This record gives sequence, C-alpha cells and structure tokens, in this order.
Amino acid sequence: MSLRKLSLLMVLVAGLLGAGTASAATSGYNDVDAEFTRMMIPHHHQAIVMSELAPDRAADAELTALADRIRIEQGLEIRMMQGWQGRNGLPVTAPETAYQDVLDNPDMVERMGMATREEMDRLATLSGSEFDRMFLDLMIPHHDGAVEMLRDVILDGSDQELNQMAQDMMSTQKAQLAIMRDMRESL
Amino acid sequence: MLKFCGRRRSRRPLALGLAAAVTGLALTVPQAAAEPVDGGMRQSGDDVQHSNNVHPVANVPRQGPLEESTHSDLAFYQNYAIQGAYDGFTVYDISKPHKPRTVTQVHCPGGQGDVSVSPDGSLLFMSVDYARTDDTCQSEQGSYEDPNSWEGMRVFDIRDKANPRYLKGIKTSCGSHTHTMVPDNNSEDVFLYVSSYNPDPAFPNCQPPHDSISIINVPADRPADAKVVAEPVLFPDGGAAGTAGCHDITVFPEHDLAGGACMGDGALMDISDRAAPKVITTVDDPNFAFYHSATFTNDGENVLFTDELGGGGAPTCNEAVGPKHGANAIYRITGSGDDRELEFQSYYKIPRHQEDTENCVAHNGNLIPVPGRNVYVQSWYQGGVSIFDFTDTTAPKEIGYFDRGPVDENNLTLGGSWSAYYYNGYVYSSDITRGLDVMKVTGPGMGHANQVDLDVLNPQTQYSYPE
Repeated sequence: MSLRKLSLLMVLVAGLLGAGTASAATSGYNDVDAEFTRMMIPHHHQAIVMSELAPDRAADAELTALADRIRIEQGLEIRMMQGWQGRNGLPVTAPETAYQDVLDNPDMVERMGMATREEMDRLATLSGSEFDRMFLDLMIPHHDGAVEMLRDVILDGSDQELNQMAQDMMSTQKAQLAIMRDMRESL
Repeated sequence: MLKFCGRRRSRRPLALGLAAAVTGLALTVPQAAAEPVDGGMRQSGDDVQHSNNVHPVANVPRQGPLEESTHSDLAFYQNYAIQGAYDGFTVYDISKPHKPRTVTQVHCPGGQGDVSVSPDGSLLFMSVDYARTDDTCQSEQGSYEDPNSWEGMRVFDIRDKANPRYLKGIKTSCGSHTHTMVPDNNSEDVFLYVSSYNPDPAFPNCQPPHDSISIINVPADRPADAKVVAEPVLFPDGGAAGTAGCHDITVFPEHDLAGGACMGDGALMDISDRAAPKVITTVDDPNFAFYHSATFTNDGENVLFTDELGGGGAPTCNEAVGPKHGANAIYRITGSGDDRELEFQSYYKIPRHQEDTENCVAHNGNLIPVPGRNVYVQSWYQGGVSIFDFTDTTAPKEIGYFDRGPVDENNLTLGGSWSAYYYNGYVYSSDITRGLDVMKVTGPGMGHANQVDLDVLNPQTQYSYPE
C-alpha cells in the first residue's frame, strides 16, 4: 500500500481527517509529507491505546516495559508531527477523532496494518499470556504498516526535517519489531 | 599559564600540493564582522535565563547564505570556530570571544553538517546524510531510491580560512550521519569513522544488515586520495534488537578506546588497530531509546552515554517523560583487556521542566578540563545548555545553565542548542535557529579549567588534560 493510493482513498472518504492541500512551492514539503502526518497520527494513536492496556493485563514484564516505551515514544512522535503540521500552516490532526474516523474505514485499517475496532475491544477483555499473545499479534502488523508508510514518505516526501523524523521513527519501529518477534517466538 | 597542547603536534603540515583534485569550487561568501548581540535577547520570545555563574558574552545570528539553514555541530582550530549547518558552514575568528568575527561562509548543501578539522587545521571534514544528486556543492536534493544518489563525506582544504576549497566527496554506505576524526597511531594520516543508520531493502545505497561503520583513510600528503579503506562489522551477531549502524562514536586515542553510540547498543571498542575497531563490550540500558553519543572521563575510566529519545525533535524534559528517559547514563568501565564491562552509575537530566513547544533531550557536549573533577557542558536543544559536575559518578549535580524561551510559542519547532563545547576559556553553543552563542562560565566549580589551552578541538576526539 503506497501513500499515493492511501492519499487517493483519503479523497474518496471525503476528507474525513480534515484534508488540506499542501503547497509545495512555498515550503520544503509536498503532498506526500502532509498525507503522511495526517495518517500516521491516528496510526500512532492506536499503538498508544493498545499500550495503555498493558500494565493492568500483561503477564510478561518485558512486554509491559516495551508497551511503556511505545506509549512514551509514539506520544512524543505525535507531538512532533503535530508541531510539523502547525508550523507548516496545515490543519493539526486531532489523534482521537482521526483514529475513530480511520476505524470506521475497514479498508484503511487493513492497509495500514491496524487493528479493527472488534480486535481492540477483544484485546481489552484479555489478560495474562492471552493478552500478551494478542498484543503482539496486533502490534507486529501495526508496526509493519508503519514501516511501509515511513518507507513511502522517505522515498516520495520532500521535507528534510520530516525525512529525518521518518528515518528515526523507522529505526525505532524496526528495533521494536525485532524485539516483538523475539517475544512472540518465545511465547 | 600552563600551555597545554591538546594533541600530538604534526611535525610537518599536510602538503596538499597540486595533485589535489578539485572536484568543484564551493561558493564562499566573505563576511564583515557580525554585530554581537549581548545576551542574545534581540528576538521576541527570546527570554534568556541563566545561572549567576554563566555570562552570555556574544550571539551571532544566522546570516548570509545560511540564514535559513539549521545550524549544527562545531569544531575548533586555534583562533577559529567552525559551525556546520545543513547547507554549509561558517568560519568565525574567535580571537576575541566576546566579538566573534565571521571570516567566511560556504554554501554546500547536504545536512546535517557534522564538522571536524584535521590536527594541523588544513582540512575540514563534513558529513552529508541526505541523498544528493551528486557530490558537488551545486547538487540538488536526490532520491533515496536512486542508486546514483550521493551521500557521504565532504573534504575541504581550509589552509586559507577565508577561502575554503572543496577537495572531494567520498560516498559512504547509508551516508554519513556523523563522523569522528581519528589520528593514526604511527603516521600523520587521519582516519574518519563514519556513522550512519537506518538501512532498508528499498534504499539501494543503504542495504541491510548494515551492522557496520565506514572507515576513511586520509593520507597526510595526499588528502585528495582519501577513500574508504574498511567497513568493519561491529556487531557480527546483530547486536541488540534492531541495531543497524551507529549514530556517533567518540574516540580516546591515547587509551586506544572508542565509545560507540549505536542505536540499541552502547559499545566500548578497542581501536589499537585504527582500521579495525573491535567491540569489547556493550550495554543496553533498559531506559534508553536511542544511543546518541558517548564521552569518556579524563581518566578513561567512565563513559557518559546520551539517549536521544525521539530523535531530537521531541519535548522530553517534563514530568510525564521523567528523569530517566532522554537522559545521560554514566557507566564505569570495570575489569581489564577484553574482559572490560560497563557498570551503571547514574542518570543525569536537566532539572528544569520545559514547555511542550520546546524540543529537549540530551545532546552534544564535552568535558570542561577542571583538574581533579569531572565537569561537563552539554546541549539540551531548547532546554538550553547545562553544566554539571559528576566527579561522584553516582550523583551528578548541575552547577550552571543557560536557557532560552521557546522558538515558537504555538508550535513545537526544532530549535535550541545543538552542541555546546568548552574551548579555551569559553563555552560555544551552536543554536539551530539563533546562530552562535558564546558564554563565560565562572565560579569555584570551574577550578583551573582556564589554564588548559588547546590548539584544536573536535569534541568527539578526546585527549586527556593534565591533572
């Protein structure tokens, strides 16, 4: 799933997330950059919602620690992407609203590797090793989806600051993917 | 005054000669003296706060062809300070630290512009970590998808400080996020340890696994022949989960040691063989997101690692993130030889909470040469500059600071101090959007630091000071 296709999809769903057209002429960014932040903010938000479930439910202390890291890091990254939108004069994406909008669109959920509303509801009912397993089974494809989106913006975006942010996010997400795959294998 | 030479002096200057191939002339812009701004309080929202022992003496705003460019790291040679930027560099004459004079500016885009100088001050090395269409200063933004895109190291001849000359570009795997100048142990050659990260199957110039660094040899007599001579794999078993390359390396040549800040790993390395560094041991701090840089104490017995949580753009200096994330972690080196290990001592993070619009996390710094003590000056982006004493490695304590208000009160914006280094009596801070700050630090905590006089400083290349 490329961001270009996503972007088309976004238009089709009638600007659910507050569409604004980037003017590449007046700044270093292009439409791909703008779309990326608009999509990644709700994407990150889901990771935070999932991570917030862990302390009361997870069995594995390492998983709880990882969830805590994801919660802190992705929360900061949302702020960075919002800051980038704001200073570029773009509408600032509200994470919860945008997240609910994405959940209403199963196509988009699937293409970005996100968990469905039903999966999220189910995860919240689990505890112990059952929670751990489902957490990883949802978070691994979620991170894979993020890596795809990051790859797209690194290749097709034009803003250098956002490029650096994306390179760092990609490294972080890949590191966490490696940790999660190890955890999943040992469960 | 004790005159101290911070490096082994070259007995002969690097002869550049006519053989030096010129691959492209950089645009150089000679400048008149810039007007220093006392206290740097010219811009709105620039409310400077500082401790009583920190005295801002000069600010030189961004200027000329780099007026809009993100300013980054610093290097020093004799009475010159060289400030890197994403689009080139500025050379200042700092004979009068309270009145820095701009000698020249070079427009040569690439980013992030990590800079270092050769020990004899004849060469300037600069990191390029963004894809360019070619290696010249006239290049344009390139694509990461194009195998012909260029990123790597630039080498400039700066024997004439007013007229730098671009000598050559050297392409390196995954580009050059940072680099470290390493003098050879048995010749006048220098090596550059080039750190870069984030390999991906979709990036032809940055393929996985990239568990390596690039090492460039710069021959003393023929700098234009500089080339990559080794790409040692530092983590044959892959290192910590997801480690793929390094962010920065600090070397301590007289101890043949290097501290590698390599994503998920803090690494201690033996660099007896300059072209074949070997990892002795690693540490994977549970609170660290991203190993960013390393500094040794003067006795070579401790390493201070920094965690750049969020990559530099994030507001981590607040209660929600807390004192252990995005902080420094100090480790003692225990054991000997190949059995050396790193033992945790403490964390240090600035005690002042910052606004949500201020990016703030541990960043670049160096030791202030106070005999008998461990004193560090460090950048914290919009958290400002912090000076702290960690002579007791288990209990670091701030002894001074300099902190401006947010660059933008409404939006989180990348800004603040990128690097802050002590050099010959003053602290020089490279501010991302506000140019160069110079400050004098006084008080008993500074001891006899001002008796140490260096003639070159690349902060990631450490030399011991006399104690």
